[in-house]
Amino acid sequence: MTPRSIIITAAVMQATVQDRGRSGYAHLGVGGSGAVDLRQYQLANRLVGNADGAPAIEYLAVGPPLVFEARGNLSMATAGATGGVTINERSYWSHQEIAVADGSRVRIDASMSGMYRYIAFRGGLAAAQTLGSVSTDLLSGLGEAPLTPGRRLPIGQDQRHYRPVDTVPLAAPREIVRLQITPGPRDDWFESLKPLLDHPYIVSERSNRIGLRLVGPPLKRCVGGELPSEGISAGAIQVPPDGLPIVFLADHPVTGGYPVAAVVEEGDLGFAAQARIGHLVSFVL
Amino acid sequence: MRILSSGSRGLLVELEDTMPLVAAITKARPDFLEDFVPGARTVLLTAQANRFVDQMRSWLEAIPMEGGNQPPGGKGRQQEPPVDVPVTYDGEDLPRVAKLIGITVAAFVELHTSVIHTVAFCGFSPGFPYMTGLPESLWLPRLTTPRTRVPGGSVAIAGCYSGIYPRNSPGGWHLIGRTEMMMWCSDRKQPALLTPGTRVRFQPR
Repeated sequence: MTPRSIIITAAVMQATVQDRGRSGYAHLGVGGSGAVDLRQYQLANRLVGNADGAPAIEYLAVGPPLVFEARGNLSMATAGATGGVTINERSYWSHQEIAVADGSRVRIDASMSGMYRYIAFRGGLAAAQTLGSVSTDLLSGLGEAPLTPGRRLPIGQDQRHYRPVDTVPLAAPREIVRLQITPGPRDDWFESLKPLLDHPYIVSERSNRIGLRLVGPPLKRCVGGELPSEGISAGAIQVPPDGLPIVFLADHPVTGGYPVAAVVEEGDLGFAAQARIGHLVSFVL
Repeated sequence: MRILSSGSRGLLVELEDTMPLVAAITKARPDFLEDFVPGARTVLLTAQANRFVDQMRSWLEAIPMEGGNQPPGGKGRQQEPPVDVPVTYDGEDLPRVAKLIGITVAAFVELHTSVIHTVAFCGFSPGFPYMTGLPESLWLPRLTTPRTRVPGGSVAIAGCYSGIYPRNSPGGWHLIGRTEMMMWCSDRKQPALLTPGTRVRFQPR
């Protein structure tokens, strides 16, 4: 029996292999990486009965669709940003388990509701770990290479850790993404955090897995000079000299030289990552 | 020692000298700790879960203080012999750097190799060591325009630090030489050759 796998057949803007990321190596300069929207990554695995932590595809659902061919009979599900799934010209929707027959051509469409779609396969992707994780870290280059046409991804052994889920309630996308923050550690470097709390910010097109870049009222510094490099937490809102906040996501650098005004609650980071370019983000205490 | 919150799982500890705390963490590796990141004058500690943050704070506060409000424990590490790093001092920027400082290239090499450097922290890319110990007369601001590609193994200086680029990457430091020692290998048991606290002696070749 030939091992089951999928073969990527078309180029996309960005698709990577992700799991929960790396821990325990930050002091060596290795960032956490992992799925930018952990909750939805976890849900995709749950929909096919995988244990949490099984490697899945994270597809930046912008531009061309993700297209692949199935080798062997597979079971898959998508979560994260919603959108169509087409298997041999037949349409399906996200957030459900779908049977994929050997030889099928699968197309995962770009999304209008978010930025990242997760595609999980029953058994998980069989990918090589680097420092305890398969995750592609786009900043450091660690982990599996980003997916390009011709790439074959083997699927792991078929085993169910959970019973399948039939339906998943989906919340309508919010007009404004609200992110809860804890002030500090360097809030005292700024005149006030008021601009951050009083006005929504617009998501810039320069956002990526490293950080969500925002445009809006700048934060004014009250301490001059440079901050000696220091460790940065996931969700840190770093403020460079232009005063425009950057919310650090999965592939953020471990240290930085600009003050961190506040940190976004980890549970809200998935919402931050899914915020689309041009949409609004507001911060609450 | 001042302890600041960094999100709901992180504590940022400010210290004049981070080495003793880094040594204490490396030695104890408490169960509640997921990760730690030494910085220039701080150490960021991240707990495994929110519920361990109070325990982490108590652990930090219980570290006995010595003169200068510093935790002890750095001495053991300092007694380990320094790592010798052979360097070919032929960096692209070296003639310009020597001229800027107002000394000869030979004098620069003499100064850079005569002191013991200490890895204060790693960052920028996996295994990139920020080493203190650079004589003050050699401190220079970073390049105004960073290079888009610096070859892996390049030995460089910027500000009060010496560093070694573990792999090809962009970079804004002054290139003074190169080493063939492999700074980083993900498959090694210890992926980084130089970790925070490691002492380094550069050897001209």
